[in-house]
Amino acid sequence: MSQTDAMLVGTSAMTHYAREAMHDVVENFTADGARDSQLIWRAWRNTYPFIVVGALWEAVAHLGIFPAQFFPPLETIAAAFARLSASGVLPHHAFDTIIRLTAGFALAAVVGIAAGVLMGRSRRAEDIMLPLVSIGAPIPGLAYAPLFLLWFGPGNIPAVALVAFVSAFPVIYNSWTGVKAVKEIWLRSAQAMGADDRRLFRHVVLPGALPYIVTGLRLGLAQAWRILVAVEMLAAVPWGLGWLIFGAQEFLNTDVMLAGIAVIALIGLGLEKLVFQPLENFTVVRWGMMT
Amino acid sequence: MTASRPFSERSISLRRGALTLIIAAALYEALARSGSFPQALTPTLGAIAHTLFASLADGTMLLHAAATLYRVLVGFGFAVAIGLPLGVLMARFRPVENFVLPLTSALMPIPSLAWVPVFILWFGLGNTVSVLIVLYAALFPMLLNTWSGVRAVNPIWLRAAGAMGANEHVLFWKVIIAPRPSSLPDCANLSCAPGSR
Repeated sequence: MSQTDAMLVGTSAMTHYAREAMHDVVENFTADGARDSQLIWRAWRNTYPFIVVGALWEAVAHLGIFPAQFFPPLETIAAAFARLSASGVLPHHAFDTIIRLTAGFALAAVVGIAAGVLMGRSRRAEDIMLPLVSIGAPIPGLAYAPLFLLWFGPGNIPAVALVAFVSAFPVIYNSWTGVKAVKEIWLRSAQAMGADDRRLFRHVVLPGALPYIVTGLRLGLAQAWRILVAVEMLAAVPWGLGWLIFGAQEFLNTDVMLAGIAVIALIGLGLEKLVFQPLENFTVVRWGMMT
Repeated sequence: MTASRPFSERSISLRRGALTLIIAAALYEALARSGSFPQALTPTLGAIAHTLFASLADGTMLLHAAATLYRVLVGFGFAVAIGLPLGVLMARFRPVENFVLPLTSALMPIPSLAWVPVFILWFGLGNTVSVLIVLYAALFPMLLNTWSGVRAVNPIWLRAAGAMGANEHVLFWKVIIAPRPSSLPDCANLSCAPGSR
């Protein structure tokens, strides 16, 4: 087994260099066929590190250095994944996690952007809110978790509330910075050309602040995601990926835990690739605000 | 921003800020004393201050803080020791980048705390797990920022130095690291504050 693995590693490294050489050639031709093979090359370039690491994992798991229960081979993890998916357990966990994430983050986004924009536009609001934000932001979100659990009891409410509370900080901070970064001269020239407050906000302030706001939302979502998985372990919710992993530890089901982590990675990656990159392309890049 | 304001405006801002904090504290105190919540769940500010002072005086708080700081520093030290060289290698050598970047983008969205149960199974309870979790959380931002910082070094400088006979060693210390610490400004906002991970 390990010999074939070593061969697999060797060939993948070799073909990698060959492909890289090919890539340089392909870049000079943009005919349709060449574009196809460029796509294939890109797919290969992104998958081969996983093949290498997977092969290493397999080798270590099958050599029996660690007990199989703690270090299961990939096929066991895949089997756990398939079993849990087929029985509907894994989708249910994932669904509940996503609902909590959406609820908490939506709250944070609405409140955070509103508060941040207000702070950016009004000196008074800035003076009042900035001390609270600067004190709250550097405290790690999870430090609030026991407090929220005591106040709201176990369940969905503290999980969503904590996610919203913690992810609001980067949104507020970046929206505020973004509105502050809108150039004074843009505001004045728009006003000179007769823009009222509403148009000023819609056509100058908002597009100008948007790169920062999108950054804030992205940071906030990453924050929300991290806090949510952790708080699900503490909040004794019946369903949720964090709870799945935490519960599987009791029974030493390492395969279930790793399958859960794989789903967490997939959702996290999906949020970044399917939500934020399109959002950014649609607004910031299209409006030419990308710096 | 505050620096550019005239003095009187700054003092108004300071006064408003202080007022906010006082009002927030007073609101909390009123809530705690109103008795609508159990005393154990919302202790008064006096009780919190008293506990803080007592735990500082008998040293328990300092011991806890020292233990936390120790774990953070060790985990962070490992993250620096791995993240900085690897980030530089990624930026300088294409194959390293091609190998590490896909793995990073897959591992980064996994919250470090999701690994806690797995790490506890693997390494048992104790400092190893906390240090590893810190390492995991700190590694990827460091790696990616170093990578993009080194890549942001003007290629003209590299070629110029190369043409003047600089070897890889000189190139690294005199061009990539020294002239303008270009891997630093990437980290100058809130996203790198300790609380954000």
